[in-house]
Amino acid sequence: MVTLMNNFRENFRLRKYNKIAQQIIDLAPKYQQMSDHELQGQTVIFKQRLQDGETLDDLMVEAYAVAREADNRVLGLEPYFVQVVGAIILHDGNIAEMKTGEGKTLTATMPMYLNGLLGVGNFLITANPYLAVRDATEMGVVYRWLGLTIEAGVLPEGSDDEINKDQVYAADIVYTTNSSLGFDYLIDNLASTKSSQHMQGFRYALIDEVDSILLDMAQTPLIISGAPKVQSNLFESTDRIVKMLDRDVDVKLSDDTKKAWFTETGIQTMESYFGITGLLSPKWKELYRHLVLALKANYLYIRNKAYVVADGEVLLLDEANGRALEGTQLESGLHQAIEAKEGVKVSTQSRAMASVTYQNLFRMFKKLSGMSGTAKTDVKEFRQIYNLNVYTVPTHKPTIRQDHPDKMFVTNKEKIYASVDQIKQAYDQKRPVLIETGSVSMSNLYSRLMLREGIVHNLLNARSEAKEARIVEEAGQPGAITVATSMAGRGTDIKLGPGVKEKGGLLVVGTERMESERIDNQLRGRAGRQGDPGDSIFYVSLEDKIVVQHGPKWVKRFRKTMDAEIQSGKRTFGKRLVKHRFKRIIHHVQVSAEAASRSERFQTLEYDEIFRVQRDTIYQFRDQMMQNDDLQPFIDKIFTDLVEDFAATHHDLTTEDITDFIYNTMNYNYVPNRYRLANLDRDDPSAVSNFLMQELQHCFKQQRAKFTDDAQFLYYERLTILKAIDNAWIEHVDNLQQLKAVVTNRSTAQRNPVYEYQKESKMSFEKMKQTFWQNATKYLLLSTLKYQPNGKIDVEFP
Amino acid sequence: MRIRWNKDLTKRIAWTALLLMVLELGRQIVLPGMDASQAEQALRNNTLMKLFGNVTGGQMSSPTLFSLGVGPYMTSMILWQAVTLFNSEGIQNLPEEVSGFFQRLITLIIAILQGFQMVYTLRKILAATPIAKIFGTQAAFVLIILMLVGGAMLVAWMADVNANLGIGGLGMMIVPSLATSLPSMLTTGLGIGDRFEYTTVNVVILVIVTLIFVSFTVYLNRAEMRLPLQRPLVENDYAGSYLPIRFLTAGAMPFMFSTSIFMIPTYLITANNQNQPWARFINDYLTYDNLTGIIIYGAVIVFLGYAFAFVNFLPTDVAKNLRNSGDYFYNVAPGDATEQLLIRRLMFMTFFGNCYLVFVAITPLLVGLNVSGYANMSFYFGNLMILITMIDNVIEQVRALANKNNYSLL
Repeated sequence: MVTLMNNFRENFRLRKYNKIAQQIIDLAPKYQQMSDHELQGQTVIFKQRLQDGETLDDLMVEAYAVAREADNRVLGLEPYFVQVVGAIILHDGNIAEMKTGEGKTLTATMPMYLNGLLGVGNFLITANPYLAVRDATEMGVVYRWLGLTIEAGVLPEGSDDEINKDQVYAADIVYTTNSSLGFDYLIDNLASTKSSQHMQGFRYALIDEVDSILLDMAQTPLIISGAPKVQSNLFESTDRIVKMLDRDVDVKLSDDTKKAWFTETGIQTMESYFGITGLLSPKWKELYRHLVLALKANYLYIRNKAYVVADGEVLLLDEANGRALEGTQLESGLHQAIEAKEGVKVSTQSRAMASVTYQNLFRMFKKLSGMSGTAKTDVKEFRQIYNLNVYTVPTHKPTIRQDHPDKMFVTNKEKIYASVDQIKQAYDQKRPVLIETGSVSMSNLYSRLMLREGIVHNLLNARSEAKEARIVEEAGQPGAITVATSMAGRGTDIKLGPGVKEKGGLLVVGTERMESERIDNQLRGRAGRQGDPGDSIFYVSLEDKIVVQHGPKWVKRFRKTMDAEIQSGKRTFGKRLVKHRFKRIIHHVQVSAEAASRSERFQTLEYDEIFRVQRDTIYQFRDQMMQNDDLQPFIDKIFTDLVEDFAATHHDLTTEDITDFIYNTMNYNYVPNRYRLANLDRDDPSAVSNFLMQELQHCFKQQRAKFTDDAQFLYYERLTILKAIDNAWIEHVDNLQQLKAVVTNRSTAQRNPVYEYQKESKMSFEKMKQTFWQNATKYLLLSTLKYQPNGKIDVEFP
Repeated sequence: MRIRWNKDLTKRIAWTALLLMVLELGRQIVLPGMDASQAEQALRNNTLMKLFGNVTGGQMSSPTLFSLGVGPYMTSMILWQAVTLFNSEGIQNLPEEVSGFFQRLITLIIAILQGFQMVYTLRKILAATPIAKIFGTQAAFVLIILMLVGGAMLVAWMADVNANLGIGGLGMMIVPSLATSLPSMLTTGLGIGDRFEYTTVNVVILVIVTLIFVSFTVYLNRAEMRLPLQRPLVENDYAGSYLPIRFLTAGAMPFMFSTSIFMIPTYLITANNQNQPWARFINDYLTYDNLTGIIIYGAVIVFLGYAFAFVNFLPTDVAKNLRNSGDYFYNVAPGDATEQLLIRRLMFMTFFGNCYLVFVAITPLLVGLNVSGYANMSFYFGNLMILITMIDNVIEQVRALANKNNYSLL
């Protein structure tokens, strides 16, 4: 019923969009007649009309017609009708589902130009830096020709230049990647002065490959790490012990291969290796912690599946797109444990200083829209969380690619042999084939098989990323065989070489189904661009990762029986499974895998919402500190908060407690006034806080007197407060990150873990506040000042 | 804790208010053609049904659209939870859509059964309704069941809406009927003929005992045992890594089902078998007016207390989850040893929790053996306790919501 209503609404809206698109096309002659100069002058006219109170929506038809004509004159490309429809969908804050090769880049010029008319804060987010730079260069010509400013927010890979962030974020339109936008946002909020901040607002974001960024990467927050923790030297020794354990006796692996644990025998074995007793006692807590880390590293993280080792470094792989996650580390020492396992240098552990999820980053934009070839499968989630509707833009030419039903086998081996046969056939016909594998190790295996068969091929995986563009370029040529991981799925447009169409176009061979149907569709979509012919087929087996991890128990039993039958010769090797029951398995496991990751995303979102509120509070406060020219009221409030909190939370105060507090927070050289201290009623909180307040004000005046220049003192105040807040906040961020794991156990007491998290994080926030007041006072009053001959003052924090 | 109002909270309260209004409205709509007073007369004798209705948000005493209330849905959720005890992995792997479908299917089946039972009780009155005259009695029978089932499913849907948009979740749907039934609980109670008299002295006693009971129960409801937990993958020694086990591990749930279970056997007695020894035993002892009966009732509560403790806590699952994430208690090996420890602790807590439940349930009954007029307090306090646990949940939720956006640095 609800679906029906939505379909109805979608049709209704699409029809409306089509009508508007027709108006835009009809306007073309008007602008075709204009001279270049007149056409360029339209931008000024539009900007004026916006100032006079018209809205972007009012201007859309005309502005799109102008952008379309400009595209034509500058690039020689005139957006088709369907591209105009897509552009309207995008301006309306929706997701446009457009297939590969339908010209998403060109489509984007229209909404970007229109929104760029309002000035800074418009971003086009691409899947990788290469695309951002390429599109900014190619499409940038149009915007500049029309009188808008545009910059690329990233550098091409391998470039050593520095980027001028002020210039980038002052541009009307910025082409950038999600991670560079996110990191710049976080860095901006670690800045100590207004002038070292670069961003100027979040108006409009158009996200390319929106499903990849908002769904697949939702679980991977951007984290800026710093402030190293104490390094441990237990990683190597525990790794050696875990490697010596018996795989079945000492350690157990769960059926879905996602969990591993020590058995009781295992714990005894380890105790005897170390020559200790009570491994689980408080005494050996750290040792056991490292053993657990080593266990996970050795049993759950498999090289060339979860990560690759390159140049003595462990690089994590993104499961959904097979790319290396540069600069991302696993938390809690897991990364170090993997480094120990691989025998590379163990890096220092650092704590999280700032973090943001993509969900929250993009929810800061006033308007959000996205493009993707595959968004339709997750319509519900986009609507629920981001309030984005998905509209399918019809292809310019109908898609004639054939998606064949899966070929299913019992064992991996049978599957691989069968797929290689099909590849050989295509190779003999000189038809290009794209072989897509689920992991780096599978891609290596196929590469070796190809070599054995004497088939010349290219290998595209996380290790050959640099050659990506060239490999993709060749992938559509006659006889080209490309073995790739799922990284071939995004942002690659494989154009067919001469004579390939006649042979049936590109053949996509998937060697296993991925975690979601959406990613499968993404892979299929490499074939059949712009109405070209093409085929896609998946080879699957009951031993595939997704079946093992999410399959029901009977599948496991069935697999074992079949395996035994093959061994005994009862079942012929290589025989396909054709019964309907088996065909549904893949669908079922995929559905439950999707459901699992969806509920994880929802939960992340709920936790993150609480974190977001706190982060916004801090960032707003920082902004206030940087913008205000009079920080005195804030400082007074900090002092009051500090002394009142001290007086209220400490009972049975002794004279020593009070003098200690003064020594530690305001004056190293405090000479106690015995008479006043003796007369102080220490049981009266307000008397205590008054006494402390006087002392504080006195110290503050002394510190103030050391500065002759007002501006210098203001800068000093600002610096100390920001430093105090950052130090307290970093500790708190780290706390919150871990708190999430802590509260999940609370659900056993029938308590809602989200509320528990909220309660605990609130308490942690209160603690952070106290630390902040204390630090701010300390930094302000106890910092050592060193005067330089040139009038500068160096500050040394206590 | 200070509560600051915010928009989200206002919105949620408005939703719940709206839903409760609709619920109340539905409870006023008498099924078509029914003579309400006659029907009530017929239903009065069915104490079991009425009691069950009271504690599950229904209103079995008169034939209305929402007579079944949220009962079928709640029972289905509890059954579902119980099933996870036996096949946790299979159920946890189910996508939300599939488990949701099964939960609603069970709801539907229970609603049909309960509807059938209710209409069966009303079969004599049914014949006189216009519906029966037009469509025939059999068709009317089915039609009325359909209406009741439709009402129950609507309430189930409303409960879901409340869980998503409102406040208090599923339990909120039974709060109004529970609260309004409290006074009548004292007067009519289980229909055992013992009436509480609202004299001045009695009312004063009632108010004082109620106040003491409420504050004590709220306190116990929040009490929990905290087992300090070691989490190798969490580095910070952040205060608060513990595994809680509630004092009232079963909550007030035993009271929701104790009377029904206690009385079910009496339905096995018919005119034909009433002279059999077991039937005589049931007839003589499964009542609240003798010591044996009271002790059996206490045993039912103890049994339910343990059952719900396990259903709520799922010690096997908890132990497995701890093992999977590498967490442990000092000096206890992950896996079986941890599970044994958890079960021991759970049994320990449940024992004392049960003591309290039994104390609440049978003290008034024992008093009632000697002094008439106080036995019904047993059911009054039982219902009050259900109410307290529900409302305590709501309070917790309001607090969390109110403080969600309440941050400032100075």
